Amino acid sequence: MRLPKLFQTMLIGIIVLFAMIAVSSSVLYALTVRQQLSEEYVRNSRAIAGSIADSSVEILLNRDASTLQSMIDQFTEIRGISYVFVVDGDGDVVAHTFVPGIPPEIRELVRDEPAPMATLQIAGHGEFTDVSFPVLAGEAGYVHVGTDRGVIAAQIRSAIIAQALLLAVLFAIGVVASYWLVSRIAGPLSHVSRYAMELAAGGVAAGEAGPSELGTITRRKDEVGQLANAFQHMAAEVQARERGLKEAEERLRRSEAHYRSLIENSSDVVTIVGPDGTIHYVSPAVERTLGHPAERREGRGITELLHPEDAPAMLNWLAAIDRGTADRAPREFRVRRPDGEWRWLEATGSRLPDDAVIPGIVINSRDVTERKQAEEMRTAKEAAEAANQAKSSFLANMSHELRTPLNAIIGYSEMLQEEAEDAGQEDLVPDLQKINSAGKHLLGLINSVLDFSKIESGKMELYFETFDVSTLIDDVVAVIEPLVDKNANTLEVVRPPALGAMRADLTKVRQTLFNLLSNASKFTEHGTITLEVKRERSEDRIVFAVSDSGIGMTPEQMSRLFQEFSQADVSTTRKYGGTGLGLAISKRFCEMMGGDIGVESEPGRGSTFTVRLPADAEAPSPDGIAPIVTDGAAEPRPPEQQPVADQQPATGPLLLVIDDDPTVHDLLGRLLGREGFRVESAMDGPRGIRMARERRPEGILLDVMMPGTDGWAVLSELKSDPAVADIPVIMLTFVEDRELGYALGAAEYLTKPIDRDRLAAVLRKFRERAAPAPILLVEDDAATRDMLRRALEREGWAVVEAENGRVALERVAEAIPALILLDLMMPEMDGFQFLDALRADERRRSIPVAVITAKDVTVGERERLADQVERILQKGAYAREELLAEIRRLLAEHARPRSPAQV
Amino acid sequence: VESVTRRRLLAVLASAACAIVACESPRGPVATNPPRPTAAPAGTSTGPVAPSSGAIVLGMSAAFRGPSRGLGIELYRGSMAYLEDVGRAGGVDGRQITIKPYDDGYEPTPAVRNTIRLVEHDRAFALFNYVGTPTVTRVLPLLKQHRERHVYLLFPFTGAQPHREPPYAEYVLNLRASYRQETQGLVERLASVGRRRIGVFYQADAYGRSGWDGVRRALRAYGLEMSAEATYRRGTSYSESMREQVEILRAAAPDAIISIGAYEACAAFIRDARDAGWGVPIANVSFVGSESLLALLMEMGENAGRDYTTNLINSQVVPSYDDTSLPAVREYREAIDRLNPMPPADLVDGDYESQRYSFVSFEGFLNAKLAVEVIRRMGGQFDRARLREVAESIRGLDIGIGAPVSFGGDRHQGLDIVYYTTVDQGRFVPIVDWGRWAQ
Repeated sequence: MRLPKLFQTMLIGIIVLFAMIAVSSSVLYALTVRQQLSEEYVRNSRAIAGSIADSSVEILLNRDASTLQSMIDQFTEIRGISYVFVVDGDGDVVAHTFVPGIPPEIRELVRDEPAPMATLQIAGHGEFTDVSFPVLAGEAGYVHVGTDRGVIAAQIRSAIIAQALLLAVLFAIGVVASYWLVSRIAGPLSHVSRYAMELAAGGVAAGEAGPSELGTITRRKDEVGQLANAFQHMAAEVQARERGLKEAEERLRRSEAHYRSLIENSSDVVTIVGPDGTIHYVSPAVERTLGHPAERREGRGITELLHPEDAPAMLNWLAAIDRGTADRAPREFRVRRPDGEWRWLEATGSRLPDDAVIPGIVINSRDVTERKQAEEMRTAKEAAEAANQAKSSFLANMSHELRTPLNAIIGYSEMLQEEAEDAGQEDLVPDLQKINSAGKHLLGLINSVLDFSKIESGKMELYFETFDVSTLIDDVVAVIEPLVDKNANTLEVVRPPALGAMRADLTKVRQTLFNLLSNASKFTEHGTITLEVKRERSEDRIVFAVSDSGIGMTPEQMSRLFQEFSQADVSTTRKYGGTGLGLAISKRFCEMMGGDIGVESEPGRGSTFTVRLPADAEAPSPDGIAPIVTDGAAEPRPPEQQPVADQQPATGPLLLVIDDDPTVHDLLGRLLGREGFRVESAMDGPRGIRMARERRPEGILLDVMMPGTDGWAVLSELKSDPAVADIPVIMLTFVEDRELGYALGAAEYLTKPIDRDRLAAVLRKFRERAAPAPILLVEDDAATRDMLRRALEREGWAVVEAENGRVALERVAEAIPALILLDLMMPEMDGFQFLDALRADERRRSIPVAVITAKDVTVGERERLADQVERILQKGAYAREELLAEIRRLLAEHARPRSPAQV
Repeated sequence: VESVTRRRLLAVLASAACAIVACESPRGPVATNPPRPTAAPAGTSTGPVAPSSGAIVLGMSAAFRGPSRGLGIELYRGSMAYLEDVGRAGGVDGRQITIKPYDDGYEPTPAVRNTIRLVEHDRAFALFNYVGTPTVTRVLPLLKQHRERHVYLLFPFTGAQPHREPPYAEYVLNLRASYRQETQGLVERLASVGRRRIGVFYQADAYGRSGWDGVRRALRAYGLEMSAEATYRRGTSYSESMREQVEILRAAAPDAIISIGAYEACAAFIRDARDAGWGVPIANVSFVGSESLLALLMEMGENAGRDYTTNLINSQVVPSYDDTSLPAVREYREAIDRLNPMPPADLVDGDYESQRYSFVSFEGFLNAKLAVEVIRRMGGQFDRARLREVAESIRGLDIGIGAPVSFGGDRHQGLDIVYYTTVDQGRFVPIVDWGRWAQ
């Protein structure tokens, strides 16, 4: 393996360093040790010699050599002490430690008075330091202690060897450690640097060989890892930038081509001008738009072709743009074509940056001549429409103010008539009738005017809902009959048994039919009025034809017939009254619903008005006037229930039909829907029982003969479940076993084929079980309130009054009313707020509410009310009898049979 | 509960040990483990009062290992040969007398350590049978240090001067004659046959110096100077060379060599001298351990095909064990043959081959005999403080060697007789005629 360069350098450094340390420390050490040991040995020797000398005086004097020997023997055990000997006063060696004998050099030493310290060579034994100590100042002799200098040298040697070994070990460790460190740093570094060089040479694409090699390095946590990481990121960054640059260039190129083609092909004229108006560039569109070839305009002043009036504005604008003070709003200028025609151009401008290819101000202009002209026309039209609008809205706003007093007039006059009759003051009746009819006429007139003004101002709104046609006919007939009777006419209704449902604005259809029928009644005496209704299956239209045997019309009369404020004849107005708006309104209504009204008539032979309406009138009317359409059937039906018939009311008591025959479901659905019930059906017993538990219907119509679980079994199960036992069950069956039915708890037993009247009677019986509860009358206008209260009481209903929503809530808290008649516009708390508060309480949600208002209810308001109230009754739109009939109907619908649990 | 149980257990063990000692001590080498029972009662007192019950322990520090082990072992054997019989006979006043032996390897430092241990831990009644001058001279200050405890050293195996003179003489009772007496006798006898140039080969320590000093003093009495001297280091094995010493001495051409050393070094010296063709008479003092020396010389001579035993003179401080006319010799030989005691196995390296009889073991026998006599004379009052007083009262005691033993207030050495022997046919025999070395 090749050693990393860094390591080679480091190795030399380490070797030099260690060599220096080894040599210098060895020398220093040797000197120190030598010095210290020498001193120590001499010190020791002196101490030993001194101690022997001190304690051997007696012994020497006693001449006890053995004890002396014993004493000096101890000291030879001390390291470094080579010999000890004692010379007595006579100069004889009396004790010594020499083996095998006293060397001659020592004998030499003994002869003279010894120096305190001497160095002597002993042949064959080396160099010694001899320390002598006098005993009794030399009188009793001397003690000599010798240390071997060779011992010192040996000690120094061994110490230095030990140190050298230690250094060698440290050196080896140092080398290994530095190699390890270096290879850990240098290896990755060389990878990184090689990678960097390759990168610099441009040969490596980032993400190729480099990173995989670098991968392990980048995982390191130290600086090398960080470096590698940084490198990798840098490489990736460089690559990404290069790629980005290329892409940007390409994008730029394409973009430039794209914009160039956009500019060249744009219908807009793109002009680049200097601040002084000199044209630097103009796009080819200038020729298409203005007929001036582009190349001819460049270098010329922009103002040359401008309308003289616009030129200063243009120059000001350009100056403003150049200064950066111009706003973004487009400017309009007139430009002359070569043929002399002035064209309006709309221009936007902005300053190009100074480094742009063509610096200056870019002006983007388009020909808006047509728009300009159209705008002028529209401005004129709007001015006219605004005037019309003001008129219409004035009329609309009048509605409430006009209707409220009229309502009182009509109501009181009606009531006064009855009271006058009751009081025997018959002479007042005709006057009262006149007041009444005049009021009604006035109300009708106002309504028509208002309707028409709404149509005119485009504010007439349609409220589409699905309803049963037959029910509509019945309603209309019931209301119109008094009018028919008035001129001694008879009304014939011709209709097929199953008309089915239609989807349209119920109110408008009804109003149209009323209008036609009342016209027919008005213009016919002692005649027959026929209402024929049929369904044109081919186009799915409902056709209402109202024929009379009246005076008829001439073609000329017919031509004016549907025009506003015109009746067939001026004279007829005087004779028959009316506004002359009814037919015009009806026609508009029909058109809005996608249908029309036609008329056939001959003078003296009567007339036939035919209304054709699409059965599903969702499509816009053919004349292009888009009615504002709202879908009244927006609330979704529960999907699990098969919709039995479209004509079912959204509200009303729920009945559950359990029968295996689908035709029974259909039949009963229609029949019961007409009676104001909601019907859900189950095809078999178990499902019926389940639905009974879930939906808790007001009543159950139960077939006996069913596959699987038969009616008897269903009946017993229903009656054995406390949760549903109280629901009355009406058995409908071919089987005549009344006894069993009653025994099992059936409320009623009817045999098939179903007798409508009988079923209706039975159901009504259930409804009427409800205990009489008061009707809450919420109305701020005291006169109206009083009138209504009296009318209701006359019918035998208890009435509670409230002058506004807040009071009404208090009343409701006192006693739950059977019905609430609610005015919308009231002080303090209006009808909407009241409803919100009322419906917020779960227990009060079921209280039926009928809105009686003089206000024109908008579609938005109607929607808001839709799921909160049962009926919206227009004040004055109903005669007293009609209103009472409506209330009666509502009460009947909501008079549920109460179970003991509910009481 | 536990401490009570343990204490009771210890008591049981202690009494069991006593019983074992009591019945087994007459038989075999059983001074093996005697100290426990003696130590236990002694533990109650730190004062000078001797143990009032159990065995009387004599503490012995000697060379049981190393080049001079023969001295320690033989000395011990001889003592035990006597003590076992005493024990078998019921002891002294019902007290067993045992030796607690420790090895010091003939080195001063272990000797000091052993002494402390014997005094402090083993509660030795007295120190006994210490071997060697360098060891004993170093122990002496310790005895002085503990003088209020009355620790006395009885009959050390050394003839050195320090424990025969103040200030230490009062703590030591010697039986044997001194080196000074031995060397003086040797010098006188050698001088008497005309050998006046005396060289000294000696151990470079207090022992050697003691002998050296003795020779020097004796020569000075004749107005003579030592003609040459050579030393050797203590602990030198016989396998080492003594040629250097031989040459140093031979250079001075002495008429005789007096050797103050241990048997291994002396054997080596004799061997190297004879090998060098130097037949000068070589005299050894008693400490050498004559039988050990002889055994080595015989062995080496056999190996070398030479006779190293000629011209050897050994001075002795006890009579020859071959002189069966002496009652003590007969007792000794009978007891040794019968008992053949050995030191505890853990004290001796296994390969030691003991001598049947030896001057050393005979000296040990006599030491023990005298010690028992001293103890007996205490009359049952084993108070250490009385030991010196009782010993000093001995006058003219016959211990069966034909020479009376006497002590006194200023006399702490029981015998003054030196016996001179030489080797004849592998045996030490008394020298009857010094004329053979006349010159």
